[in-house]
Amino acid sequence: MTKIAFNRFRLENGLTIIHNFNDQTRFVVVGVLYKVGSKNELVGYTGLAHLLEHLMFTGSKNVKHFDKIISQAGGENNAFTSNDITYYYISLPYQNAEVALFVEADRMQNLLLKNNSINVQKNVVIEEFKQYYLNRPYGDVEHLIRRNLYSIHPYRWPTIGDSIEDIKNITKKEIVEFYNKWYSPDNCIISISGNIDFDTTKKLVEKYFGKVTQRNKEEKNNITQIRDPQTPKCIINVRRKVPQPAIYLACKTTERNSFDYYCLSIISFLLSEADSSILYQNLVRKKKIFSEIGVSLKEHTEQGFIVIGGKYYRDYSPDNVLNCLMENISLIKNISDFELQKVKNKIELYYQTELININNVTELLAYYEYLSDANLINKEIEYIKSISINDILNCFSRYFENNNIFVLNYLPE
Amino acid sequence: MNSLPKIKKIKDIHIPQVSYISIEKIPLYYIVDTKLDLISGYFIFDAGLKQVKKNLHSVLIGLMVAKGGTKNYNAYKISELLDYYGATLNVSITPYNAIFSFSVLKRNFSDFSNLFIEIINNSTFPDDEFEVRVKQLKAKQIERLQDTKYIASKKFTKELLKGTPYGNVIELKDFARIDKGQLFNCYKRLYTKDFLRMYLAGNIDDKIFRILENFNQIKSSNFNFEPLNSFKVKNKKRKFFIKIDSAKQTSLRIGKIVPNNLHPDFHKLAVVIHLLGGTFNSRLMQRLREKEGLTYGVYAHLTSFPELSFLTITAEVNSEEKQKAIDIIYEEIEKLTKIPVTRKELNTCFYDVVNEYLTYYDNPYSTIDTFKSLKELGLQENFYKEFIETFKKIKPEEIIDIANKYLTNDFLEVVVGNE
Repeated sequence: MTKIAFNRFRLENGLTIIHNFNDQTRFVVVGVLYKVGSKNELVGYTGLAHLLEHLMFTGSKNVKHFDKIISQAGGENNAFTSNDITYYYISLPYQNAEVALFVEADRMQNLLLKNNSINVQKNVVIEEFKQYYLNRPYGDVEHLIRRNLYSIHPYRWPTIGDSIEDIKNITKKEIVEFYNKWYSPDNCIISISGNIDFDTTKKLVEKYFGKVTQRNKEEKNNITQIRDPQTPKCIINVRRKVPQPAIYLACKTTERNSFDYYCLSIISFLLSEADSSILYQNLVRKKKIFSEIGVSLKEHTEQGFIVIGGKYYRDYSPDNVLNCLMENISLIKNISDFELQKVKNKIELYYQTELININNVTELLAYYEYLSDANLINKEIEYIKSISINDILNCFSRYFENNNIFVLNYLPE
Repeated sequence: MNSLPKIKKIKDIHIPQVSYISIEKIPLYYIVDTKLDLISGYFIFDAGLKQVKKNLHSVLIGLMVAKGGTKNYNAYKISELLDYYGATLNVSITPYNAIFSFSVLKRNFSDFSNLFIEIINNSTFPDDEFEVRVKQLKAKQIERLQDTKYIASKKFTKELLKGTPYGNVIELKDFARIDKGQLFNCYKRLYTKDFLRMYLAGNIDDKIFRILENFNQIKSSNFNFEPLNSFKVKNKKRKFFIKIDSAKQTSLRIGKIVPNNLHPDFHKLAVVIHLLGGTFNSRLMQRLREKEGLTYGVYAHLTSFPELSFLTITAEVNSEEKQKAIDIIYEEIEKLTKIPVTRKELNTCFYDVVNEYLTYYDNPYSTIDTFKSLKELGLQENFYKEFIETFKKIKPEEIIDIANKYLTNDFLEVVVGNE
């Protein structure tokens, strides 16, 4: 498989830079990953990391109109916040790569947090909350699962925040403190890919980021060290205005950086990816119990989780559906060499297609460096290929054959 | 202290060459990329809503062909083989074609293409599989009917495109009137090499071309389309409010029919729409989101079919201030008809557009995707280049003229929300 070559260097202020040269594109992408996410928020002020991400576009000391400058440079930009990280990117023609580095350096050290911007962006985020989590059928499933699966770990809430009230609660003081604590060069990885050579990259990064000082010297540990207790087996019923009942099984799994995570990826594929998967074939096609079914493996740097479930037809009772689902999940234990190879081939295709787009490559390099090593971009597929049936069976028994499964019955009113 | 580096103005886009050959009269457009061991692309048939006439039927036919099973393989075997080949094959039905998009590891392209030929030639629409798909689609439709966003878009499309081949939206009652035999006959007529085009990107070499020659095995049909009944659509000012008590937000859809993309005014109108709501820096986004905080996003865009185009303004807004949001939208439209745009604003918008188009052509896969979209609409490959040239030359007073000509008061307005 194609290898992605890259260089890595570090500035004295602790900033890590990953560089990947690609002269097949006319773009340069600058990806800035801050090692902070919603798990670093406090109860009562959830949604803060994501709100700050919005505010990062509202102006800094020397860049009053962030989006307009990027536009004039022929670029586009965006960002996302996850439970673990916050990632910003600017993609622009290579001739203007320097502009991206200037604006990113400025907002890393000189963000202006104006009261009016804070109020407006809080309202924008509240509308985002309504659009994706409240004003759509089954929109609150993620909130319900996280809230019940974790008892103390901040993975208890999604990045949008635990509630609209929490977002309203956030004041300028919390935002400033959060920014000062986490948005510092020693807590950041910059990934630069595209049509820009290494020497130019190094020179420009040193020029714009070399003098950015660590805002505080305290060690910034993105890992919370909070160990959530075992989730006892539990079934929760909720009633909502939805046409079809749904069931979701969730259990805590492992860290993104562990070998088990790769085994769980294969288990996810076997269970639900594509029409030939176990759950689709048996529960949608043959038994016609479910109208849709899926598996979502959450890649968290601390203990993540997996959700298995979907929407089923009203002719079936939640108890029957739960039994059927458990029985079919157990069929993983009969996996054949052919099935394992099938999934490996499919995953190989996904790895290849991820490398088409330079934005993806930039983001992956930053994310893998955050996990441990940017070279995972080249190594992960080898880990997947090395997995045996025994590995799958052992992994399955570790996470699925205990009683720590949470069941959410999402029922029509 | 560092200051903002001088911005170098990017004023043009480079369009990579797409090659063309004909394989047994099947057009093949392709672009080579040897970096990845991948072949990706589209097989497209004239089997969209326009040709099949009923939206639900066109969707069901596409699904049954792609996933239903054939004379030699059942549905399970097809999906299993696709996975084993390291391949994806998805179908999407548009108003004017049926698009099979795929990606496959190069080493398995031969097996993959044989399977695709089998799917196209020998689909059988087995009863059991048909029943599963109908049940799934119906369940999804019932779910969508509880989503204000879907309700608003459905009502908007139905009312705006009434009387055209594109106004047929899926209704629940359609599920009681499905005639599988009729669908199967339709598949036999339309999924043939006479109505097929291929668009490919990836590691294409002589071996791949030899494999593609097997597409001559795809069957032909003697079917001829009846000429499309001529239709005329007229804009008329109309307002619809659909009350959903449980809605937590209000969905707005405002728009109208505009000339299609071959019309001499189209590019100029597209400039106006970009200024209004085409980018993050647009007037609507800046005012409704960045100034007022009434929405997470508001967009104005043109949708094009071969015969017509239409404008849609889309937003999900705070229900308590929905009227304020609607008033702002009309106010911003009106400003475009009266106040000349500044050169600075026009420039910002221009560079937003240039960047968007640069990304369309940044890699072979995005290039073939863009080429395919233009070609399927009957447009030339330099369409976006022409647009950029128009944009460079447009004057503020022309923008006022175009806004007055096309953005007058006869809008269709659909509002879905609580009281």
